[in-house]
Amino acid sequence: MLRCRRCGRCGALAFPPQHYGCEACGALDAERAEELVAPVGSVLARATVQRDVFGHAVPYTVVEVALDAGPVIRALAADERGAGLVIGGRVGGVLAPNGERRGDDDVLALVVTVEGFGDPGGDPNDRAAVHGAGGSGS
Amino acid sequence: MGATLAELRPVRVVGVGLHPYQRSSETTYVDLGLTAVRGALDDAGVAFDAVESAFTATVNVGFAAGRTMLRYLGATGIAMAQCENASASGSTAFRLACLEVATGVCDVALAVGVDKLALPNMAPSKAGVRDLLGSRLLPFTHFALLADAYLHRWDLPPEVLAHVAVKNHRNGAANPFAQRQKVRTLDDVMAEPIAGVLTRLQGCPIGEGAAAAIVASDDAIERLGIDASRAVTVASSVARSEQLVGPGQNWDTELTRATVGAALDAASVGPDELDVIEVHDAFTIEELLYLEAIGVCPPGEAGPLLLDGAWDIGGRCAVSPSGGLLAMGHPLGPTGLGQVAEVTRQLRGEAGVRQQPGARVGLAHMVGVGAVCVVHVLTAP
Repeated sequence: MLRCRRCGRCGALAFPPQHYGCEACGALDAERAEELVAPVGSVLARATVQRDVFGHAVPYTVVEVALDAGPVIRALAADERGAGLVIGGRVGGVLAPNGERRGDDDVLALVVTVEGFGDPGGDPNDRAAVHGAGGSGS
Repeated sequence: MGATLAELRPVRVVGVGLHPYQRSSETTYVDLGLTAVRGALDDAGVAFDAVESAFTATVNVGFAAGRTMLRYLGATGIAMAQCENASASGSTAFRLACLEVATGVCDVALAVGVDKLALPNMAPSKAGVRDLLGSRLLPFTHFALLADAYLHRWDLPPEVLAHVAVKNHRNGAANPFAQRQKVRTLDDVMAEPIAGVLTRLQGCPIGEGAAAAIVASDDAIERLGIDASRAVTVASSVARSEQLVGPGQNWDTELTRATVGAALDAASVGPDELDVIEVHDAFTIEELLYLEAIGVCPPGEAGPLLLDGAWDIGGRCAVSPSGGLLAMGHPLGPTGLGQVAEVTRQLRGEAGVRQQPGARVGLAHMVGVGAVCVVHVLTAP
């Protein structure tokens, strides 16, 4: 579950959580409360990173997900090349190693996977088809 | 609501100057900045003692950059302030200079942007708000996500984005102040993928450089004997910051739509009247998204129109004729002022081989991390 903050004044649901106040209406954090949200939603966009200036192992894939609960999150995809991720497809977050180490331990973080989150249901004209549409001439 | 620029006294750009944008070098920032300011003074035909107020835009130079540099123009005792507003720093310095002249606080004001290459001292990472990606979400990746959604939505191939870079590198190759002055083919641009469909040449180079503009009132133009036939009017100046948007919407695009809309309204100009646009094309996808947000074409059509040459110099509207951030470069502090210099030259008919024929109305647009957006509409003498 993702820890979000629900504003008691305007109803906005925010992720990531912070204690400064509501970005939608400016309410103090005292007027907000924690709400646990299922990390389940639909893919908005994907990007496989092939060059990284901060030393993260490449490739890795970042995915933007519109959660059913409302917030949009960006997280690491479980598959380094984002296999199976289609725009509009159903995905969910699981706790898994994110490829980083802290001492002798893997760092666990929320990563996004299609496994176990149902039929992709996405646009069948996905990446392969769209990107195979060919050059537009030069 | 307060007044728009058009409701105050007229502000004219009377001088612009640049130091070429370039890779990091041993040149001091003082030399970079003074080159641009002296260029702007020469262009205006005035001496530094005519300037009453100076704003210095810089992101990386640091504490007390303005006076440390401007002292060598003669210590005239004028008001000086330093301005940092992320990538929109130069645009913001220009806006502040315009507002001082428009309100009558002074008659002649200088805005100069100058920067050296450094890793910026960024505030967002100091807020203590942790997202799920940290340093894995760099600008290249943010814009690769926007590119993925855009190409999917409009069923376009990634080469459409690459053609933005081909066009802007072609323009930059004709600009002696550009950091990248090489014509690039589609194959050149498609090589070296960085994130998603975006490749190395689809992101802007960050180096060093300087740009300056001098703005003046009509009183000063007459008193100082400045050539009014080369004075470009600042028809509007609008600055805004991000508002919350819904899923599938992009905050930079929505911010651009709101800011440009207000700037065009304030200048009483329609998007179809724009002859020249200098846009914040730090990444190729931005140019297409912002053109649609500016309203020069319907959503989804900026790419196909690009392929038809609509945004070329000589096309319907010259977009990034300087080469834009993609080819002229994005040294941070100077960038927004470099746009003003290019639009000014275009509207005077002094842009040489990069001249958009008959250019009468131009727009300069920058966004910055935050997000913030600053837009100016300029009109020909």
